[in-house]
Amino acid sequence: MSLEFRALSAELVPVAMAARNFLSGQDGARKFRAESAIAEQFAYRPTLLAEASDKSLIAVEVSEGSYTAPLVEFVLDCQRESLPIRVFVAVPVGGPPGAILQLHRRARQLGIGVLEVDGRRVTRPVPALSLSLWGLRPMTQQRFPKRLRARLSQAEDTFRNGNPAKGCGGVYDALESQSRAVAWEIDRRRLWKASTSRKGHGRNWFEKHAWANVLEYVDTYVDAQTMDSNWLPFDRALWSRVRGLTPHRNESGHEPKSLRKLQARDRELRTRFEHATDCLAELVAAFPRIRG
Amino acid sequence: MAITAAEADLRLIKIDLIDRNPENPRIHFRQKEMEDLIESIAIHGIQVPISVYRDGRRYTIIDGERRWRSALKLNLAAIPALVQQKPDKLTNLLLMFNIHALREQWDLLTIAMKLSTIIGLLEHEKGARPTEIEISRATGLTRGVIRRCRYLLALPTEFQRQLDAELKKPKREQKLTEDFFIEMERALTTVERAMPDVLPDRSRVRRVLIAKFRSGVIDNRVHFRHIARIARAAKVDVNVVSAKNALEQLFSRNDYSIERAYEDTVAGAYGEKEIAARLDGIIARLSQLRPRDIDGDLRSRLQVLSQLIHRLVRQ
Repeated sequence: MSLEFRALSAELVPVAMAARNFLSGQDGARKFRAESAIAEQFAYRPTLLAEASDKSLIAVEVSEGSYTAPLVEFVLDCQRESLPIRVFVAVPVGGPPGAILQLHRRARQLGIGVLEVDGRRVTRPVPALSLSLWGLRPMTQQRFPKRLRARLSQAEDTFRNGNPAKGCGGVYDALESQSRAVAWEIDRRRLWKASTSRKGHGRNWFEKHAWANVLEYVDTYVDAQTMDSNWLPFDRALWSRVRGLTPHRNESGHEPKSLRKLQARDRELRTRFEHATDCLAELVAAFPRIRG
Repeated sequence: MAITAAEADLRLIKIDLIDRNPENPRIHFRQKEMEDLIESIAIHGIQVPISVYRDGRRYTIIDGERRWRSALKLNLAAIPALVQQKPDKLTNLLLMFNIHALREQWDLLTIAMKLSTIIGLLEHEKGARPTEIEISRATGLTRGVIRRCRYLLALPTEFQRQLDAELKKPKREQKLTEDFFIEMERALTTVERAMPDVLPDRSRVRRVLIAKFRSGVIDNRVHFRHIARIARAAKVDVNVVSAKNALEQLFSRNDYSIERAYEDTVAGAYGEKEIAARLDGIIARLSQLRPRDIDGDLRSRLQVLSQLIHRLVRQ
């Protein structure tokens, strides 16, 4: 299908066509449109807009090698709207090396990809990430002890790199481990209500029994008043928030069947990831001496 | 024929109802310039309405294609536009020429390519070939620009294509410019008139000169003016055979520069001519002076000059 470009300079049309052929062949992109709007609220029409096989969008902005403020604004709008879209900047090869490095660096900061076009040959020095996932609030590592930082950083990367469910799973793992350790510590110190008829739940029970049940048990029987003076007061609201996350622990989720559903899923996973991270940070702060 | 602003109607028109004008002489819109305009419009909006004419249910641009393209890119729903009556083909072209003539945004080649159409339409309208003054009045172009356009129009298609390919590049990357071709054509025209036998195949010579310019053997397009001076060797009493020989070498050898050909032939003669012309001026001024008009500084310079003249004349 031929594409009619109205805003793109004639000399850059071959660059656009090469990028289209590349993404069509490599990523299975289809239904390409030229200079088409995504929706009224997006104040930019990228040079090419296409659909990926998972219903997400692919946009290509053809440029001589620079970013305009409206393009950057468009990328930020996509992040704000949690739009499942991968944006590429396609540039002809041959620019000054310094400018190319700058182009790559800025692309990585924005979560967008770079395609370099040399005639019909196209390379992808910087891959594009889905902006619905890239818009995740950056994790402040200083909120966590050093032992947790590597796994949380990995979870964040996994989320941003296109596997949000697995990324959330990484945070849930850390949260589960930390909350089970707190539960066991409460048990070890016998901080239960006097009426509790504990019948020998050993360490193994707190470590292996269903996570939701362990959290519920603590919530029901802990005696917040007798907490050790070295501990902060037991925060029931925080514990409830952690309990609220357990139903999502093992959700694998179904593949969304439309752009709208994909956008809703990504938005929800983003919220869950951020929420789980916040809960973990608060839990660590509330029980600083307990290692999960 | 002319449409005045008073007859135009200012409206907000949906972007997607507007088409570019197929007669727009401007064929190259450089991406960097477009991006600058897009950034500006994103901040300040469209401050000046574009001009369009109605064509059925759609509109065609007379003036403001870059603004329209930028608005399209920024996904603006509508753009302010002055809607004029649909002009005939000649009026349509002339409107655009007059609107753009003073802006110096268009490449000369794009103007030249449309100029021949205008000349044809003007000839059809008045029944006779228009004069340069008439073309200038109709288009708003100066006669100098029209003459420069004619050099580009006279180029064979092969070289027009080369120039067109260069113009598509960003300004900083352009090697062969319109000025290069105009300087080269002027020089070759002089050679053709003064020494037609050294220029049997003008296109072959063009290729040689372009190759030399690309390789740096010719490093300044202004040096083409020296070729015209070599061709007019007879005017400065230089041996015409040696001048022809230099031009033949210049038009065939890849390592022979214009500057060297100039030095080998007429540089001395033109140097003398220049000194003579200056001396004529000095003599005329000095002959009007009386001894009491000369102050110390001028007197000492004249003494130096006098000693130099004595030394040169004695030898």
